[in-house]
Amino acid sequence: MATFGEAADRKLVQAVLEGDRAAFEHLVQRYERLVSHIIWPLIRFPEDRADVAQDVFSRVYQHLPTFRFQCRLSTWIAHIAYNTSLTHLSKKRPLLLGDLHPNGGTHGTDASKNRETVLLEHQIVSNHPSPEHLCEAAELQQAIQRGLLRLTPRQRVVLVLYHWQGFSLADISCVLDRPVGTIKNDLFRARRALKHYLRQALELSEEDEHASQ
Amino acid sequence: MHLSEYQCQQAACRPPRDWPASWNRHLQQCPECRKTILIYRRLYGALTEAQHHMPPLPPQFARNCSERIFGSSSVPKDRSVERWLVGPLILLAALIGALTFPWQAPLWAETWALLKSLGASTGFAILNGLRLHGLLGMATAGGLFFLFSLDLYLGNRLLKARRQN
Repeated sequence: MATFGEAADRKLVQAVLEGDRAAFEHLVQRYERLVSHIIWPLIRFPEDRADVAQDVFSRVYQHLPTFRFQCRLSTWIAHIAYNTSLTHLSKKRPLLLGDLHPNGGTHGTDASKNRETVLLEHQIVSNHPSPEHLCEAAELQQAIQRGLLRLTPRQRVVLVLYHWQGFSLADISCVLDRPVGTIKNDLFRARRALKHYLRQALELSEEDEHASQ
Repeated sequence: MHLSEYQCQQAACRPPRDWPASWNRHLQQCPECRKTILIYRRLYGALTEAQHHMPPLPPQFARNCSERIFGSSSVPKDRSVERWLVGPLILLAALIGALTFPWQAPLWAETWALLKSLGASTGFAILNGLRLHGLLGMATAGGLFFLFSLDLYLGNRLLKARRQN
């Protein structure tokens, strides 16, 4: 039996196929957050993200007549978003070692940070300039965001889809075209790595408290 | 024996009442595992919070997207180009055919009769003796038609490429 969300998706898809421009805009609004969540961990330059997102929805429109609801519409769009981002990356530049190494290929040295990582860190910090950055919540946020940068792109996508979009492991496996076991492993490793950064941040803030006392 | 890292991750996802009895027993006496679970809980909370700090897509993104896909009204649709040219093409073909028919018909009849009487093997040699300018005229008309079709095809391809980019 079709769920409410699926029924709404079917209606929306039907309207788009009939050439309803407003329905297409509604579809974009409905899934732009999902698409941006997938693009963000993969495309590091902000100026490229909007272009890639537009490409994603162009492809969605182009291939919509072939979509037969074998999976959820969100899973299908996420799959297109992931593949479009990978295509963009392969066209834009060769895959860097930093994309494959869990530590971002920097091996912990600031000097070897590539420009993209620095740019993204700057963007994250400036996105929420917190005058109250001394408070623990802000510190934890920064620790999380910096920890995310150290993950592999695929681990980031898995984490984002699982925790932000509420996708199941099976859905993520469809999106990334990888076995469920691989996705489970990625999720486990990503969480473990982030826990490491969070623990460090918590210990640092405890040390600061002791020092101020 | 401590809970594994994976078990700690799972425990942090669920409320304590859903934990297996063995985990509960162990956690009552192991502060280290309790701390690990606590850190994972904070991690999950912070992760959920982190999504609100992601840079959004530009405003009017949906409108820009549909503008790009549906195109502006100044760009004609490729199908309309085909429909527009079908009529003139048929007319042109009919005109060429009508104009050249009285001139071509005896030529073809003569060729056919010669080929029939002499056999296909010698047919090509006989062709040399025919009025070549007639054949050249036909080839020119055919070439014009081919070039026109090619132009139409390439024009459509170009329009499609423009609309996709």
